Amino acid sequence: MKKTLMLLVVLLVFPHALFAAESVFVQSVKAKIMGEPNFKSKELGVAQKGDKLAVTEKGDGWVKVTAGSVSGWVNKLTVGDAPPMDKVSIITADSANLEGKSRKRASAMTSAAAARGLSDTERKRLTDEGKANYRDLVEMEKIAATIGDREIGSFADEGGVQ
Amino acid sequence: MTKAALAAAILLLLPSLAFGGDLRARAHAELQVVTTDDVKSEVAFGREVAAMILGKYPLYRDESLTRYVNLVARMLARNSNRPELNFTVGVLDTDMINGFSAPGGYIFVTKGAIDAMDDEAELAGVIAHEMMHVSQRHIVKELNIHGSDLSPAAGFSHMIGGAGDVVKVAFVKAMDEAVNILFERGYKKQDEIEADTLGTELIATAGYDPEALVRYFEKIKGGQEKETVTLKKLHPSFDERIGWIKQAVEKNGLGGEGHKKGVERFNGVIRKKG
Repeated sequence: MKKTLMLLVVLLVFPHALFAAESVFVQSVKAKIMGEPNFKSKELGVAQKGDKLAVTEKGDGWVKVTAGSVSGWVNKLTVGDAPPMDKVSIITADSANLEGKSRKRASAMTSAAAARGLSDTERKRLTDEGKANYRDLVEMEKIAATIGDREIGSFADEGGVQ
Repeated sequence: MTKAALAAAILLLLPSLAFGGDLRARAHAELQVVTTDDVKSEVAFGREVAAMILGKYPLYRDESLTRYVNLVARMLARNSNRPELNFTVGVLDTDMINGFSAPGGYIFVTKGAIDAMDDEAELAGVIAHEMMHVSQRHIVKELNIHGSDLSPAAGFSHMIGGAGDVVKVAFVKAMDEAVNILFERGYKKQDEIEADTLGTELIATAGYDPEALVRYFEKIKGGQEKETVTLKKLHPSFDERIGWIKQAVEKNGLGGEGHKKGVERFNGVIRKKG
């Protein structure tokens, strides 16, 4: 009887505990867990990208979480509702030339992505009307595509940033 | 035992009847689960908008400068909540002082804006501001694109994943509207507040001086009218922006020792261009 009563009390007081507790996932390379919702407070720990953190409270721009034995605040900029996704790209380094007389098929676009957005005809129309510039777009994408994680890491280290 | 188990079963059901509807509605409204397909559609849409931005102002052709601004952006992105995006930055060849962004991670900073900067932290501040317009999906929400599941981000797939003229017309209309927001109407004031304050949080988290945007705005607010006329037309006043950035720095404890301005590296890349 006592055990039954205890169970009843627990279930009445904490019904929400039985249902999906909210969690967030670290999206940034790392997320500092602070004692207060403030970067000047004591740093209690560091969560890594992909870590699942149980949410206990929400603040203005901050979320209170527990991670193992640590309970503290992470900045909302570093977390999201779902596990972090891998990089998504519809462009490879081998971009197409969509302008000019010799147009090549856009080998850079995946077959799924090729069905998205405007057709080559529509892009050419916008270009001819002076409304769009795909040549410069491809140029900046080509340069950006050559930058890898190692170079970004070195850039951060050399600048004393992260 | 059987009575206890029965009691427990009944009590388990009661909360789900009383609160379950509430919880489900809240989860549905707040949880924006975005798929890879949604992001690909966002990038595809943003790419077309980026091409239209370049249709207005061409790319400033300088590979080392382009690499530099992309390195700043990619490094900032490591500290933010859109790891799936390849932020891609271009410098626009115009003396106008401004920055632009398109969904999917396309960022633009004008040559005029860079010429007015003194250090890498100021550059990071402007880039971070534009990155936050992307991260927070401001244009997506403004365009009111909705998929079948209430998620604005899923709306892109719904809009451009289909076939037929009606879908394509909607897509081109959305592109025109996005360009209108960027060049004529401007974002909502709340979105600008978010871009400034979250952008400042982002650069501070990365280790840059959190006062960088404040310094930059103080400098350009008294500058040449023709170079800042569009910036002023599309944004709240510099004094307002400086105010809410300072508030964010104070509230979040972003200040302190050790933050970098990156003067030397910035001068090494920018000043040698003449």
